[in-house]
Amino acid sequence: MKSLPPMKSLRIVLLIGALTCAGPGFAQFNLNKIFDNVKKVTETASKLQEANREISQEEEIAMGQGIAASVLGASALHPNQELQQYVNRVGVWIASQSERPDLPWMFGVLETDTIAAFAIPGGIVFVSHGLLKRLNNESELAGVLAHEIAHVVQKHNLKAIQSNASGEAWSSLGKEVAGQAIARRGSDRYGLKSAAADAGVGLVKDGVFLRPLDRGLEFEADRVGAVLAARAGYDPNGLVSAQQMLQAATAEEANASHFLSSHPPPAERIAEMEKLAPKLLDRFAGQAQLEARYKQVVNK
Amino acid sequence: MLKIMNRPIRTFLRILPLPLAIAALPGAAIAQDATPRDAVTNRATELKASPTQDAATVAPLAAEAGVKVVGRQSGWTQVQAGDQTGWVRAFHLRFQSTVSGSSDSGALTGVLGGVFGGSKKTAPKGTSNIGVRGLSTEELQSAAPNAQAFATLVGLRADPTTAKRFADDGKLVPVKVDYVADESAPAEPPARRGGRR
Repeated sequence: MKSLPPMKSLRIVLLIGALTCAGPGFAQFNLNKIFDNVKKVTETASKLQEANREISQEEEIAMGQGIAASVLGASALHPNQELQQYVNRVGVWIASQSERPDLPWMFGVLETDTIAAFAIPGGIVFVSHGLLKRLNNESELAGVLAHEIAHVVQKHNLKAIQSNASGEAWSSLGKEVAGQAIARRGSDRYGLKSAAADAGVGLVKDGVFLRPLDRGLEFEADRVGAVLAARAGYDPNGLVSAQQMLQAATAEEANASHFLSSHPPPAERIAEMEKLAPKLLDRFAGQAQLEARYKQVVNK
Repeated sequence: MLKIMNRPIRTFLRILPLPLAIAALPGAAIAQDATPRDAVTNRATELKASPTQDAATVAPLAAEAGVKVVGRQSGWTQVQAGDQTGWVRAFHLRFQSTVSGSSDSGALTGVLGGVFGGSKKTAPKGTSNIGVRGLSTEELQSAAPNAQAFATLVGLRADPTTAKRFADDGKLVPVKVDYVADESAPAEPPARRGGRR
């Protein structure tokens, strides 16, 4: 493996900071403490020797809550409660067809006009109102949510975080969480007062959570997501349609703004999806699209 | 018919002011580029009367034919080709933006949210985030966690019983569907393809 670039080293230091400072005295989002302790943590880091380990589901959930709270510190939830509940119902229904139906799934609509959708470990998914306005029916929303649910089910982000945080840093999270956070949970299911939640906050702060996923994982989430949407009774072509929308929107925007990025372009994702046509997309094309129900809620 | 220009020329065209661009090109190509065109066919295909495989064929479409996009439904794109309107399989179209290498969300968001690419995108430094509010890398990294908003999010959760009733209302019937293997990389188990770039 290549040696770590400087930014990565910094992220690791900050992550370790988030982890090792999150003892009982530093309960809730104590970011200042975290940064104050980076120096101390750097010294501690050299002592960490424990091998890499699997993170527990409880740790994953708590970490996701910290990440979500950070996102919500930057971007507001849409005030339309009916819309929020609608998206939650679609999402929970699809998630209930997955291999992780028992996660505390939560789906939030962000008020921003930007087109955005993303998943957070532990079962939290955000979509933007800007995206919802551009979708045509519930099967398209289902495709988008199913893609995000697939990331959580396959633990894509979680593995990326683990990978980026290095084995040593990760093992320190394990120690902290096992020793302190879990003991404090009980009455604190959503209180965000755990070491893992603090770590989640740190993962946004230091940018580890903000890194793009490997493009292969995006294609995989498309494949898995299309299956989950079909399992839930939706036309799985909704995901293809949503990608078409994105492609067209990109064409509009490309004239105004010319910067490129490393993400798989929708054209490539659509081309990958075509491989699913005979076995999946054509076979279940007759399933529900639910345009009227979608527009009734979203266009209010 | 409707043969398009090659990529460098078209990219060049979008950058040039229109009169200059026209002056720079041979006459035959100008007229074609002046017609409204959102996408081109990426293979020879058919314009169908409705968005289904067994619908009547309105007209055959040659590869590289320019079309104007009107709508979309279930993996089909409604287009106008010449003076005819119909449906083309989404897989058979290539959108203009893709020829310049522009990606899915860079121009749109430059943010978190690889646009149900599910992942997070880091905005390139020094670029303006058009339309972005609250989701730029800088805003996220500097945000103070909002526990109250998170509590609101928790309060909006749907329980499985409610979700099931909602599904029933929409006549959504669960079906057993197996995952489809990635045929392009059969030897590589999914678990090993994790996160690192």
